[in-house]
Amino acid sequence: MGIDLCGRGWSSPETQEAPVDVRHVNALQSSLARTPGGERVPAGSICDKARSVAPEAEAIERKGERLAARAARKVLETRLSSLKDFPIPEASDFEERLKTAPVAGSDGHARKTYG
Amino acid sequence: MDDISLLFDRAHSFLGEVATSSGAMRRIVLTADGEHLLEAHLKDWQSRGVPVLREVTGHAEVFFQERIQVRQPEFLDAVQQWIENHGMALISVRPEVFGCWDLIVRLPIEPRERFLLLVSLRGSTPTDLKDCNAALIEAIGAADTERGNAEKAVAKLWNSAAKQLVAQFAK
Repeated sequence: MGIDLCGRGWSSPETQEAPVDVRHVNALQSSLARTPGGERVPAGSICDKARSVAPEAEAIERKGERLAARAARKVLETRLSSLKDFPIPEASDFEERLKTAPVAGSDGHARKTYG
Repeated sequence: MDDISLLFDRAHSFLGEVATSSGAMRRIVLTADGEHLLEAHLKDWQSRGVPVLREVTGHAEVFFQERIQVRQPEFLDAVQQWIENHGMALISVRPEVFGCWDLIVRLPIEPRERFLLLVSLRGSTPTDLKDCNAALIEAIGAADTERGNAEKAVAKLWNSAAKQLVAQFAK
């Protein structure tokens, strides 16, 4: 079993298996550290188990995000629809302006300051 | 107090915020996507100024380029023009709306939904904004509860995997 720490996780050069996310290996190692006898489990088996459980963990995370979004929308729909002047006075104007323009990108949060 | 404007691209993704004082630049904070899209331009603006097109007086079809320096009061207008010419939107917000935006970015909703919430809030009365603020906090709480449930389920899954491994090597 080899360890690839080039940002891709652990991989097995012998079997050419896909690398596993370090996040999943760490989660399993943390659980093992809390389980009596966990220290006797070899690193290779930890890696293999993390790889096999990862899809289920990711599916739960994705479902959690969907449910979180649904819960947030439900609160907003309920609470904001009761406000008198809400919504949307200017959205269509901005929508139209953006539609006719030539550049695109993706999402993220503010982090780098210039000035 | 600085005036704040928020930057979005055509897909409604948040690119960052522009803080100005009497039109002159105070600071610009970019997201990772904003950095990817605008960092080179920002460095150019800081060293040479923001390029703006001006019409030659009396010649509607003849233009020339002028550079507006970041400390000039015309900076914000120049950036507004540049941003719109490049297919993005720069939206000025009142401080109380900016406070709501800090909450909106924490919601796990689509970029377009965040954008529409923001432009809707811009026209809201102070009373409605206060109610919106409370609604946003409640929505974040609801989302965090669902996320917490998912985190617990994932932790349970890894604990179960750990027990299986330990049992396997205890033999």
